[in-house]
Amino acid sequence: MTRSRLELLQWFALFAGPLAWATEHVVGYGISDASCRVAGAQWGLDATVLQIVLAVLTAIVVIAAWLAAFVAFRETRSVDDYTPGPLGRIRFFAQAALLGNVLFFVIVVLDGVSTVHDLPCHQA
Amino acid sequence: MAVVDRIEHLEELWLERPGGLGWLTTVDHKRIGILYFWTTIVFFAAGGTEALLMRTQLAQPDQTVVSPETYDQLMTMHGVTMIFFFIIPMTTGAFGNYLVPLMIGARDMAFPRLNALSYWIFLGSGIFMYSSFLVGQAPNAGWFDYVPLALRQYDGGLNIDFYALGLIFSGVASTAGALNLIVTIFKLRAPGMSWNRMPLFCFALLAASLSLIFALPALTVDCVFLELQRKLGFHFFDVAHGGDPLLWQHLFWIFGHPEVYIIVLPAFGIATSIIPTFARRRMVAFPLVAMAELLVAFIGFGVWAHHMFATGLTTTTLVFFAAASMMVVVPSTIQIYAWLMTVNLGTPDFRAPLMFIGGFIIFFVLGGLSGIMFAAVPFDQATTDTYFVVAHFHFIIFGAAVFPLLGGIYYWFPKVTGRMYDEQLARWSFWLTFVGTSLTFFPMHIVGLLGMTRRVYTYRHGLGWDAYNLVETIGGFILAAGLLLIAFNIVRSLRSGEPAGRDPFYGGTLEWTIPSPPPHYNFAVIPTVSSPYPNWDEPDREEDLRRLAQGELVLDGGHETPATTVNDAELAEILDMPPESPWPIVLSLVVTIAAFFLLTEHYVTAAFFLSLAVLALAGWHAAEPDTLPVRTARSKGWWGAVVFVATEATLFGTIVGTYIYLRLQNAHWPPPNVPKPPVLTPTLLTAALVLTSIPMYIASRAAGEGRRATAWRAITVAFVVQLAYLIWQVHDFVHTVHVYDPQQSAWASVFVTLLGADHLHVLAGVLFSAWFVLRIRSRLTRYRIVGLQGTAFYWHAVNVITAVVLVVQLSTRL
Repeated sequence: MTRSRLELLQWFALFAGPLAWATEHVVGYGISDASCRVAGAQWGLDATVLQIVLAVLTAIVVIAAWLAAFVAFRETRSVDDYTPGPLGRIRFFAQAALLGNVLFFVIVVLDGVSTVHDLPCHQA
Repeated sequence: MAVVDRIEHLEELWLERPGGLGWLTTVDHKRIGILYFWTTIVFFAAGGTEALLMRTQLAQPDQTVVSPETYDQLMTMHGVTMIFFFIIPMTTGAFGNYLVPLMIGARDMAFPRLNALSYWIFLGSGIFMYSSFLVGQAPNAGWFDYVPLALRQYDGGLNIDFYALGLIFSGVASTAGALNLIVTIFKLRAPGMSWNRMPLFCFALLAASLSLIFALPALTVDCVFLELQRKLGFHFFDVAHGGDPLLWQHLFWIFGHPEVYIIVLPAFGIATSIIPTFARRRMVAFPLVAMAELLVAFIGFGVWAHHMFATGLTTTTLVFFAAASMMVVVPSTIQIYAWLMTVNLGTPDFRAPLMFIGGFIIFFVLGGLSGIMFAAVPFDQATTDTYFVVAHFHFIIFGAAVFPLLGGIYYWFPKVTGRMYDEQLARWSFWLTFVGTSLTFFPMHIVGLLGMTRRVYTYRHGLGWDAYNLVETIGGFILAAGLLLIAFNIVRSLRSGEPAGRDPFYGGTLEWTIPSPPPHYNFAVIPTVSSPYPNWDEPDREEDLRRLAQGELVLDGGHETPATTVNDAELAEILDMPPESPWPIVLSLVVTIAAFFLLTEHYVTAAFFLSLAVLALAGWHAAEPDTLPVRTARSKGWWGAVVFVATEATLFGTIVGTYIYLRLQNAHWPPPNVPKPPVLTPTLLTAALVLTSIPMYIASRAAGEGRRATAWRAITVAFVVQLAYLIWQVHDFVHTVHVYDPQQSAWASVFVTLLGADHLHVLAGVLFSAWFVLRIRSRLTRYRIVGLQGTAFYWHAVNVITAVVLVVQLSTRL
């Protein structure tokens, strides 16, 4: 694999998952608030459908990021932890992204589970 | 030249003037770190005294040691002091400033004068905040100052104004410090120190600094909204005019939760420095620990509403934040396992620094367990605002942030002073502090579950709380004794401690390769780096000696340090660093005076002093190095502009987010009786401004290529259009405020604030452009080229933000 492609995989692995989750978190909170508030109630939002779509899309991006991290990690298996950059740095961040994207995937799944249950706007 | 001569020459180059004047004008990161250290110790003593007064009041039921009004002020100032004036400046300002350049092999921070400015502004903001006691009007609505209690109709004195203005002011210092740490870590690492070879302490400070950059704008905007509502009758937080009191809480906790990670991350960094040294081995799972530090900071931005579980948020929102709150524990747990495994697999030497880390781990685990309990919404709703949460955050903030600090003070004391502390006294101080902390804060879990609410001034006898409160008070005094014993040990060792030598503990990082205390120039030769533990890499240390003898990377042609590429630390240029300067303290002084005039509503006088601040900035930049650029990567100035733009963009994002949040609360937005904003004129003006990005780009590129005349013509064209835009908009703004009266509705309040913030940023950009129109008319220097490129980047960002403001304005037509 070319160095530039490996670099691209590493940066995608490191940033795509966190940014996708952050977007899902903020937009999901916004959809929830909008559908339950005065103004949003006028717009006829189907919050459940929107939240499910958002969660699925986010999960796809996070999985893709994890796979990118896996490929980058495997492609740098010949280097050790303290090899200088770029290869050492790529391996370092690939390991980091392998961990991070698992966490983001779990959060997205938990968010999605709540959405499927079609919770009421407010607690009783 | 002989090695001795090289070293003497370096010492002459980096020596600052002696005496008190030297301390006032210093830009040396080590001196600034020491200034931060002693200043934050004074604030720690103040916050601790406030705590002991509160504990004395609560020792027994129905006491009147202090009045209720005084208690409110003590309770508020204890929190404000400990968080804003002790722990953050101690960790980032003292430890970060002193140690980061040493650990990465640099001779100073990226921006030495900005470093000095951040200290003097921190001091000014602390004096400003504490002057409130002199007039008996200290902040009194709690450290998170909820509305509506903090609004003028319920708290009409200057108390809350001291709070809001003081935090805006202190936020400037923290932002400047964080920007400096980020750019230093990005650009000033020694050649060869790629990301995977950087010490974990530096990862922790990087994570904390990035969090400060993105979290502080929310607090700043919140405090600005509060002051606009209190002083000028704007409406952000009152429902009757379309506002929402929960807006304060959202914005506060968007800052407030990352804040607790900002507090604890440097403590993690200290732990990850001490553990490998005293376990005699490298940290287990180094890449995962580094990533865990960054992950904690990032996920920490997504949990803020867990402070608001009892406020009636939508159910789905509760679940989103509960899920994130549960997962944020995982990176912390990874670190705990890594620390414990490292000690277990090593040959631990339980000297005082490691003992404090042991205490830290115990308190952090217990505090973390009570924290994860709060992630469960039903439990949180039952126990929020009781002493259970007071117990939780004191276990974390005192146990998990202060304990590593105390261990770090002992650990680095020999390096900073050249003397050893008394080990036996240090161990006693650990046990006294540990017992005191446990006795003070553990019973709070129980008394909270028994129903004692936080912030109460007193309580009745017979509720079952008496004995626990008495134990907590006794514990508080034991804790104070422990801290005083540490202070005694430090002061006595300063005077008569045994000489420490270069490396008394055989630490792994670069600060242990140089003499104790470090020389003014830090490193005689820029060090060779092959791992995050360079002091344990003997071949590299031998290579350093060879290079020193040969004069390679000694950099004794001036006040020099290398700059490297961000990712792989390849040598990019040799920086000429500024000498000591009076401008930081002068600038800080005029800004502090301006703050007092803002407090007392003398706005014209405040504006006058802020104008003096602008002149001081001109004086600051008038003197510059005269070297030509020999650079192969983006400059530190460019990265500084990027980080600055990131924090300003977050600020605007917060105001736009407020607009959207309040839009959702209101059926009609803007209100029916308000005319819609015009379309054509704002669109044409914004287009004209956005188009100035073209000449700014041309100016930036031409300057980088040494084409002075082209650069000057391009920036002059841009400046003329920018100035014309500003004049028109200022004139129009007066009309806007008259038509869209912010005293009538929340919509107008947010709209006018958004426009005003944009115009202020345009004003700043116009001043930058004017400066370079004058400066590059005569000649181009490296300093001016970097400044012009940073200004161009700033303008691109302002143009994007102005376009977003236009979109918000046009959205009223939808």
